[in-house]
Amino acid sequence: MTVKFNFLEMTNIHTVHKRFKFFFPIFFFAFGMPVFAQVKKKAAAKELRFALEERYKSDKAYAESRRAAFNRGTWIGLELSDLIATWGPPSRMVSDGADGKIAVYEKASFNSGGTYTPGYVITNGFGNVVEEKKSEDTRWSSSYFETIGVYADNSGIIREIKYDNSYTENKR
Amino acid sequence: MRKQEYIAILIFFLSITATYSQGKYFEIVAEKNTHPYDDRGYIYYGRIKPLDDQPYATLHFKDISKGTLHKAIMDYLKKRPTLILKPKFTNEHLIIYRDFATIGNKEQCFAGLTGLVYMYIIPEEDGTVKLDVSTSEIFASLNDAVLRITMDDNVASDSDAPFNKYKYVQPADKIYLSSGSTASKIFLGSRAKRKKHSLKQAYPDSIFDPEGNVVNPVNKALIEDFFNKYAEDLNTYLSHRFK
Repeated sequence: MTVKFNFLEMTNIHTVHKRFKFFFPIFFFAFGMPVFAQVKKKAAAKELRFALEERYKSDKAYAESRRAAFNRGTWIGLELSDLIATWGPPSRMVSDGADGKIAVYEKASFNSGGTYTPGYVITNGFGNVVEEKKSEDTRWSSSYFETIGVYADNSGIIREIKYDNSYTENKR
Repeated sequence: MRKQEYIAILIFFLSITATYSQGKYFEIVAEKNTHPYDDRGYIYYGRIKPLDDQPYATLHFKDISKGTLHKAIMDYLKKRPTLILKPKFTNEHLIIYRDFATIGNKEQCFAGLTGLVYMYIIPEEDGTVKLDVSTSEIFASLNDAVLRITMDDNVASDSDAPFNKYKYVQPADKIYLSSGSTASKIFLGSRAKRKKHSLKQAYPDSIFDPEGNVVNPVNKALIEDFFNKYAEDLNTYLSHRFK
């Protein structure tokens, strides 16, 4: 009885193994492929979301960068006196060489930072260098200039607004 | 019911014929950048240019002098109050006007497209009128931005809704640095990972892919048609005037 049982068991395992070998690829393709397709779809959706977010950021930054110039431009056709009442007195008022005038608004800002650490050399009694450190200079300065020229005709109507700016940075 | 269908089909074909029977003056092309590694990441760039590699699109009016053409064009602009003359740059040899108009909405073009058209018109003694729109700009928005323009041609959107200059060519793949996931940090250390991302899917409104192949022929036709209409309208006006 024992021998027969073992033989049957072995036969069964063999059969199960054979069946498994046969059905595994079918199960793999039947259930695995949709899972892979799902993973691929999720990756594509993630990539699309990333691309759309990048475009949104870029478009938003561009839209915001246009605001200052647009706001200045809305003054064209309006009275210079109204602009001065809103912006405050200009840095200087000059003639345009004819009968018009230019209100010049200037802004300048200066910044600086960093430190200077002097270096040193330590020698022993025989003149040999024992320790040495080079000086460190991380000092910097920057300057920013902004000029807005508001051109008005002889009746005080703004005809043109010119904008110019410059930034310079000096590192040692 | 069937009769209505036939009428609808007939109207559709008539509208197509009407669109394509209009004169063609300009085309949009993708050209290879001479600086392939510029910071914008574009190898190709798109632009609007006159047909057949000509420097200008041209209209011809036999035996009409330069002065007469100039006066007729100025009269044309008076009849089209939305077209803004640029008096600072306009003289007896050159007339410049600008227009700011919608090209198409998101449903038509995948993004709201608005054109800032600069039309340069050069009348010649032999009755030729040269046209150039190459300095024009197009703005695109995926976010339904309402765009406005000032007298000095500065464009902004209501509430700073996102918009940008239209990209004729989709951006090329770009490499981004990321700190990586926690698992990768443990196994690989804290080195920044470099990952390539494709951005072109976010630009369905672009006409060309990064390799300069046309991927959106509908927008190509719509934008070309948009610019052609300006030339065609002027041509129709002058033709009637000089017939």
